[in-house]
Amino acid sequence: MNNRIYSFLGNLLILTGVVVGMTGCSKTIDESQPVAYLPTNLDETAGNWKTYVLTSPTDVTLAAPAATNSTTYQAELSDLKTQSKTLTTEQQQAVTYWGAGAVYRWNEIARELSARYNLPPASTADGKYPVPDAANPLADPRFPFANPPYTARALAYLSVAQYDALVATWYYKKQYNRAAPSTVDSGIKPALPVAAMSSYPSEDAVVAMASYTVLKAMFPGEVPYLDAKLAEHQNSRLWAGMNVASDVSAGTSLGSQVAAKVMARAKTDGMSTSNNQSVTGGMIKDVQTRGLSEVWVSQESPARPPMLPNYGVVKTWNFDQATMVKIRPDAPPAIGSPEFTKALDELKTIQRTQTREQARVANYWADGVGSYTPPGHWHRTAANAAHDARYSEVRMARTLALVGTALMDAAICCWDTKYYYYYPRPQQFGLKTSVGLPNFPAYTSGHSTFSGAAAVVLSGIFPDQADDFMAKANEASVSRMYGLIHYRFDCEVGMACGKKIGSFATARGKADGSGL
Amino acid sequence: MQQFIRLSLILVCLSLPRFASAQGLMDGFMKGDRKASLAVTYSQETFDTYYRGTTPFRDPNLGTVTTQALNLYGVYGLGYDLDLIVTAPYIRTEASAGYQPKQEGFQDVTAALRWEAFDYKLGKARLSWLFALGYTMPIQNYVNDNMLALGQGSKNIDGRTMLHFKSGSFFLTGQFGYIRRGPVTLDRIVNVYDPSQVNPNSGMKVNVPDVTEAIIRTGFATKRVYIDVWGQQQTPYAVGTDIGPGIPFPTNAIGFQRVGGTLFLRLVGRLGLNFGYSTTLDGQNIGKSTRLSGGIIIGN
Repeated sequence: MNNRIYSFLGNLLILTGVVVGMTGCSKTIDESQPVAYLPTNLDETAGNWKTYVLTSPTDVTLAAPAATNSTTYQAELSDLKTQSKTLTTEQQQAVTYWGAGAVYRWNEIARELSARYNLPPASTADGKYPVPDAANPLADPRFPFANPPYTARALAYLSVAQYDALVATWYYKKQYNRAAPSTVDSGIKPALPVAAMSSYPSEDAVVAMASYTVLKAMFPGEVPYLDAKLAEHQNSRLWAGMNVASDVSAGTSLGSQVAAKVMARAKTDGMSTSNNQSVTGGMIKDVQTRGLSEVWVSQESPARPPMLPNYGVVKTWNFDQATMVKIRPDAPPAIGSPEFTKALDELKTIQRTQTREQARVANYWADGVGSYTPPGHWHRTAANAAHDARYSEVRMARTLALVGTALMDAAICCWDTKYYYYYPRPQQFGLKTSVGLPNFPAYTSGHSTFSGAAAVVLSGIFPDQADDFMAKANEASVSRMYGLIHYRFDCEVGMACGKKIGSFATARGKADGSGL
Repeated sequence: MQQFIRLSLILVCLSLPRFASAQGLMDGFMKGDRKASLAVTYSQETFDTYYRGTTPFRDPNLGTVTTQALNLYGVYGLGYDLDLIVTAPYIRTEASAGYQPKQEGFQDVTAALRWEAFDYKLGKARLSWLFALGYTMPIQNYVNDNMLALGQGSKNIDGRTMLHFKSGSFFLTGQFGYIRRGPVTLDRIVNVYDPSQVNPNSGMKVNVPDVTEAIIRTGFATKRVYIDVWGQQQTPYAVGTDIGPGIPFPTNAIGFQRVGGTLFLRLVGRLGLNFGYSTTLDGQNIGKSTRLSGGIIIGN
């Protein structure tokens, strides 16, 4: 009987312990967050760097600031003291969040919006796919459908606006050279590291307003969300004791002026005709005339119109239309040719023998529906590399503009190639895929083109990490074979073309006056 | 005979592919000291409608999803009041339309202890109070972040308690359990920060929502025949996501309401056959599935 009791008590103890353990332990997943830093180089001559859309920083204007001994400024200082003295938890969190970097955070926000809007419209009961309407962005389907070409373009304009605005900022900082509030008055205790340079205009306010303006146009359904981000970013500079109100308002004005000029280019870059479905008939006829025996056909049920068939006409950044036609890859192998059969057989073998590691690679780089797409993936890589290298805001923006314009050029070039050759996916020959089947022709691989372009640009900027970037690009490229949606020649030719595209951006970077 | 009955009750339970599910880890019948048995069950579960959140949805690019499972199930009486239960399913799941490749392989191994803590005699009837504790882990690192997946890939702790009433051949069992699911690492970096997600983050590690489970089962058990009907309600305990583009599948909040029945027939000596049927009445982020199973049980 005693044994029975001991056994009972023992079992009860174990069960109690386990139940307490099950319900008590937290499910919090901790992740390291990016933090504020002092740039390793202030890039004081960046006011002379070559801009993309502005012809010169003086295309935009900025009034001279009030002197630090003026009553106006002293009133601002005293207001700043009050604002930055005691912070609520939310204010403290905002200071820390935005302190990680203005360009860095707005790039992250843009990626998040891209992912949220990367939703292909669902079919209606009568088997049609409604087209998103920019004038009614929150109706179903929402505008935009942030697919890879759309996202590449949104992020390119964001980065260019940030860069041009920051070059102008550095120009005016040097011209007006007004010290930081905490330098003027030691009673101000800044919450973030203060660089030894002019704080007029506030680079954070410039980036905030420039980014806000571009993103409001790219994601018109997100205005309230962006309003809140803008206000929080601007206020965080006051809460942090980093800028007085006139630093911020000057930055807001400058950012707004630059973004307006950048968006004027966007409005006329050809994007409005990119989804012109009436061009596909001619494209198919042309490629059949050139000898293609089987053209690409949507494999979705019901069949979906191809993604942005006319995106190839969109205006490129780092080379002109004639150059694009010149670097367009040669024709893929004829359907049924030995080269084609070999490539298809290779995929059949992968389908039969796919390893877990191949599946992992395919999934890691899938960047499909609901993601911020390969352009977003490479923006993340670039932003993190620049953050790790403790780049100044202007150099961070330069990095992302070089990568971002190369990625948009890659999208234009690749989409031009895809619809020029109208080549069928392996799924038209019986292959499966678990990474999502893109609804546009196969040749060449978008992932490979994007990755080749971005890796070349990043290798030029961070030569010590070149091997790593190229390895990533190669993995992204081959991931599409592991995912069974691209032939080897799609990937290899796409990668080679992407590298060419990237080298144009690299050449621009070498000649932009930064000396980098 | 009772050993057969126990097994027949249990072995329809344990395979848990993405859209398939079990009707609970175990029943209320104890095995008996030093007694053992082994069962092999085959099941087939199909659905052409699944719940996105709680909204039924049919996807022409998925068609009908069929999941077949071969389940090995063993139970051993460590003592008259303590059983060890081990199970491991092999699963194949495939869709009739679209381009998703079939997934096939070993899913999760589960080991559980079942303990009869109290045993009351009420005239000729008996009422027992049981506790059980199980641990589940993937047998292999299968892909878990997909519409068609072998399972969720999480390591789970399952704790439950049961009241088991038996009078003559009639029995009635009620049980309540809590399944604690550990975090899983995806193959990809999550891109969408969703405030309703269990643990919004920008990394590869995500939380899997815990669930609670209630099961009521009743029927008759005689020497040669056993028959029961049951109802099961699984409810997400923590906030989770709904099936959607870019949303990690393991973070989805999964729940369902199922009913089913079991028939066991003793053939000769230590050999028996069992058959099971179940259907889904309602669900959340799961297939509206119907399941048929059949198996052989060998043991004392």
